[in-house]
Amino acid sequence: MNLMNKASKLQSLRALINDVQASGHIKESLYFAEYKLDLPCGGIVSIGGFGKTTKAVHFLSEHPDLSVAWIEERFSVYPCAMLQQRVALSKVLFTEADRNTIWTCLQILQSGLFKIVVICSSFYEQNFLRKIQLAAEKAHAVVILLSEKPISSWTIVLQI
Amino acid sequence: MKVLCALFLNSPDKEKIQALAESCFRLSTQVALSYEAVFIEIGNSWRLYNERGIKLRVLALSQRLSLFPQVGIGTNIPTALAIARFKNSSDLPTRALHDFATPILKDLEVSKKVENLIKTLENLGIHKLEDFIRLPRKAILTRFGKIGLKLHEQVAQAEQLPWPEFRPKEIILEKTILEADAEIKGLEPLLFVLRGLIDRSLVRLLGQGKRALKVCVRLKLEPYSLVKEPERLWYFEFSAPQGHVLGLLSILRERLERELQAKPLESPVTQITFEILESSPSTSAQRDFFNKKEEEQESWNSLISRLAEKLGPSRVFFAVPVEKYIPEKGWIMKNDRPLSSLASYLAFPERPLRLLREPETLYKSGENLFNKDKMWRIRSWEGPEILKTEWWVEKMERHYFKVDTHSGEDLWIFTIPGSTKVFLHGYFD
Repeated sequence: MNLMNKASKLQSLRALINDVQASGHIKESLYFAEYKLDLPCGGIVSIGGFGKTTKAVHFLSEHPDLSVAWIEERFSVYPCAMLQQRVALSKVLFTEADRNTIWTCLQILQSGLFKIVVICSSFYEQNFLRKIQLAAEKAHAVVILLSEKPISSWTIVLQI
Repeated sequence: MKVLCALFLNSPDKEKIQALAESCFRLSTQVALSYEAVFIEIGNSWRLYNERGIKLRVLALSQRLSLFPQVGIGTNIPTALAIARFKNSSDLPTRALHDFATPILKDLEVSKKVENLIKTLENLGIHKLEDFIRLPRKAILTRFGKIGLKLHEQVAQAEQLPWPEFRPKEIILEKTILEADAEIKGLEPLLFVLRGLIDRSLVRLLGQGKRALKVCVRLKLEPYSLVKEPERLWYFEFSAPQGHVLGLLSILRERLERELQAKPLESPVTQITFEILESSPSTSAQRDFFNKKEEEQESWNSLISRLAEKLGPSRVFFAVPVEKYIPEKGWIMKNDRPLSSLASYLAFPERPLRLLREPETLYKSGENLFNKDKMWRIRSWEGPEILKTEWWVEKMERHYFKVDTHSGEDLWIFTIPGSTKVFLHGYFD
């Protein structure tokens, strides 16, 4: 009898957990078909290593309707190549931020005008990442960090 | 015709009334200004606003300009003025004859004559304007003379009064003189005062259906003997027109913060002036309730201007491809959002996603390519793709190769015919 009670309680608890998971915690995401991944809106995604720009550009080409802010510390991306990868250049605002990368990124996120923000910088501080994470969460935007090496930080929700 | 009158008693500030008249252009295209009141023709905009709505709007606009008018609505300018003054639309007193005699311009001589007439009328027991109108025309000339007849006609035919011309000022200027005890030396109190000035300036500008392109902030400082620069001046040129206080204020904050840090104010501020020097027509002076495009455009303009102000105008841009074979000249920067992209690029061989600003000289030794920092072992070459400039410009020929290296990096290099040099121009990152 006691066991039966426990089993029924356990079942009802499981049902409750399922309900909570189904109702409250669904986060919007953007699907990256090439890698079969969901990039969460309001989170930071890091793409590291060689081929990082190609991956980011492929992701953009899969979402041609979304506004994109492409922030570079020192501008080196080649827009014509992005066009060849079928990125809608009319949707991409480029900025060369130099030493003002954090400020630029925060301004862009706070404006709430961009759904995807790509940042290419040589150095990502923990403090910077935390600020970006909070701003991304508020703006509900996918922030993609491009780096030479994988970034180890708790603020990053996905590494590609 | 229906006229709304905003009347300001107790010798109002002319500049402020002018400002209100300018900002009222957003409510109607027919606005007039007298020495003590603003008149707005609202008969043609009744589909947009009801009487109560437009009254509230005028009161709200007045409040933004620190004005507190008495508002009245009538069928013509003098009647609206009289209603606003006596706060009564049905039983106007004979004192209202002043408003019919000189509704727009102040004329002391006429006022004197009208005052005498009113006294006579009151002695005769005529206290209401209605009773004065009812008097027979013939009797008026004999009893009250020329002025009586003229006023009788003016009251009876008030609707035929031509609409006075009013032109808004070309340059919008708002200033505030600070009291001696308001010691403004820091950025925050300065911005607090500036916000009010910007708000007033923009409401005037938006009334004309325009947005700010170039503004100027001028600070006058207490001229102590040690103060080297008693006047500080900043010009702000925006890459996108600004029509919102918060957007404009954040651009100003960025620059002022930077410049006041580098060179603080030497003494307290005594006067702050905000001036709109250049403006551009805005697509719509009214807010669209049914979509947020206008608001988005506003925040877009603000963002672009802020970024351009801080980073420099050439560092915030859209890329537009152009039909040029030389890779580095294959696109141009544009500040406005381009409409479409050039499809002809799709036919070109694959381009690298990273392009160096200046091609970098590489050295080749056997199967290795190296520069002063790095060495790559070549796995395979792909190419060449021969690119030549147009014959009428400087002659140039490059043979491009895609080089696959053992480290996994794909390089985009070129050689020049007749030369042994190899140049790195980009990475297939």
